[in-house]
Amino acid sequence: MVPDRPAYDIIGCSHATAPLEVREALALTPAQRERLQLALECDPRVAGAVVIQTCNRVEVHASLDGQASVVLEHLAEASEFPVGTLRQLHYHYSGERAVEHLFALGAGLESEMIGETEILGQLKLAYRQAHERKSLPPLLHRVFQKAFQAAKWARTHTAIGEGQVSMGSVAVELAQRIFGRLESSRCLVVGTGEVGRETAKALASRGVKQISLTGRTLGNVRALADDVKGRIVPFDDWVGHLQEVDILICATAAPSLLLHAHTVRAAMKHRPARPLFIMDLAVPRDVESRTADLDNVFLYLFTDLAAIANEHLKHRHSAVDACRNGLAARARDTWTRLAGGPLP
Amino acid sequence: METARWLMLAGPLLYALAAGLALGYLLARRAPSQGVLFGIVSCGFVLHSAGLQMRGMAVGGCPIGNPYEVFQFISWSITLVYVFTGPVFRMTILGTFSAALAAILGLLPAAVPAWDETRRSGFIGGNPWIETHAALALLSYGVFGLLATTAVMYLFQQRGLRRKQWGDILRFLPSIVQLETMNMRLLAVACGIFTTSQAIGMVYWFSDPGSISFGKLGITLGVWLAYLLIFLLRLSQRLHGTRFAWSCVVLFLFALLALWAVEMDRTAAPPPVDAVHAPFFGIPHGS
Repeated sequence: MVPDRPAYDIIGCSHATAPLEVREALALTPAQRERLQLALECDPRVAGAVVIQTCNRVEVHASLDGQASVVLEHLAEASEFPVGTLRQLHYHYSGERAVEHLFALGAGLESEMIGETEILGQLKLAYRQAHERKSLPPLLHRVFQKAFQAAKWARTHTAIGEGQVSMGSVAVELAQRIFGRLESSRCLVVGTGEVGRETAKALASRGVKQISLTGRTLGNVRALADDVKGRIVPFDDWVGHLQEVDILICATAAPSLLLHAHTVRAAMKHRPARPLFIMDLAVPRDVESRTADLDNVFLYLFTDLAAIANEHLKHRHSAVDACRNGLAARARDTWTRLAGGPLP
Repeated sequence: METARWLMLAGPLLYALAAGLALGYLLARRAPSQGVLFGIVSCGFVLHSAGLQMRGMAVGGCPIGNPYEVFQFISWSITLVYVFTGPVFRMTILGTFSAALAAILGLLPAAVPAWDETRRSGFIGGNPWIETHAALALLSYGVFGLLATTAVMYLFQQRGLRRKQWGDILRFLPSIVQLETMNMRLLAVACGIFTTSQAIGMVYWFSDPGSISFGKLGITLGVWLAYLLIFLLRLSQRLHGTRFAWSCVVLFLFALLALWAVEMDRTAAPPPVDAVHAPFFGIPHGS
């Protein structure tokens, strides 16, 4: 039953509560996501729903009567994941705490890489999609609008954005620790998602000898190839180029592994003394984890790069705390007004 | 002689100062000052060279007549290679590591007075080739020492990358590709010097096979063949990366132990009369 009082709930799983393997299993394909959205819209116990999915979280924002189980069941069904495990690993925020979480999420404070800005774009996209389906109740509409304002406030009035270390700069620094100067290194980018693009551009700006690009969507590959002056490799053939590559960036949305350890081992036989640096930035992962055990192969996941980027934040605890406190105050104020008065 | 000893103490002390200063910089999360470190190491090198020169003049030959002088010469050789090759690389950290090693090898014998109490005078026997042989052998030890240093740096960097560590020291180390290249070049140079030294020694051994013990000859040739083997394995890419680095470190420790064994053999054995002698590497020993 839809609550007759203002209610705002967030139910989800993220890097904070679930290991990578679970997040990989929960990563929804477009079809699964559509199925979840439809199921939530058709359920009379749920009023409106915004499904937010990033590489490190899946969340449902909705108005409930306090029962998270209804959302968990739909999520488990859509992702074909055991609901029992989901119950153990999920989080559920309500009311003011949920608003506070959304505000922090929009400002990048809940991201694995603290302070990143990509999450705001993902929130806006999820909100717009829900809005276009006309499934958004006024309260969710207002709270999302307030979250966007809060994120803007955090960027302009706190130091959270200062000295932000991007994924690209971390990737470049790691590559330099392996290869030194990058002018003689060859790079292959598989997938043209936001993270892959940013990393490829950072490496291109450091003058890598050659950037090759591949992906399922040729238009996106061409666009990125123009940006970084790279060459295009057919998606069916990219594994054959592995032995020529020093830096491999995998950032696809593929639901299963693209690169197995035995393939990398075979490629390394042709270049045993030359290291191979693999950045698997995809969730679910593109590269088999056993690849990291191979001699002269350095495998880094998105989580590893985010942890390195967050190392730089250790010296800026006060900035993060000030931002979090400011957002919490704004969340309290927002919820008091939304819950107390009539909705516009 | 006393002035020479003080100078030979001052050099390694300055190397230790440079290494300690660099460590302090790193602990304070700051990049060590390249100019300051290089300046201190260079001053130490000048004093060390002056000390060895004075000792050499006093004994009338290359000062490698007892364990104290041998370690001093190796310490000096490491610094010599670093001073002339370090600026090519990111030398602050290489300087830190090599200064630390040179300091240890230079200060350790100073703490054991017995090592400098006795000395075979005139062991070169007035033969410049024998002197060249011994000096080259010890110079190659200096390069092998520097090779072991860069190999340790490789292992640090490699381990840090494997364990996803992001420490300040690791960021200042050269890349593993640079370190592997550096290791190969140092190994090639050291093998070249060592082989030349062995060739000279062999000429004398062929002319007088009974002048040195087979144990000494076996150890010397063993060290030489072992280094030659890892050089050839690396050249053919059968040995590389971590295993190559570990080989360089372990072999240097073995070479130091072999040096010790040869030195013990030399001091224990009664010197044959009228034989030309030198402490290492197949050079005949004598009075």
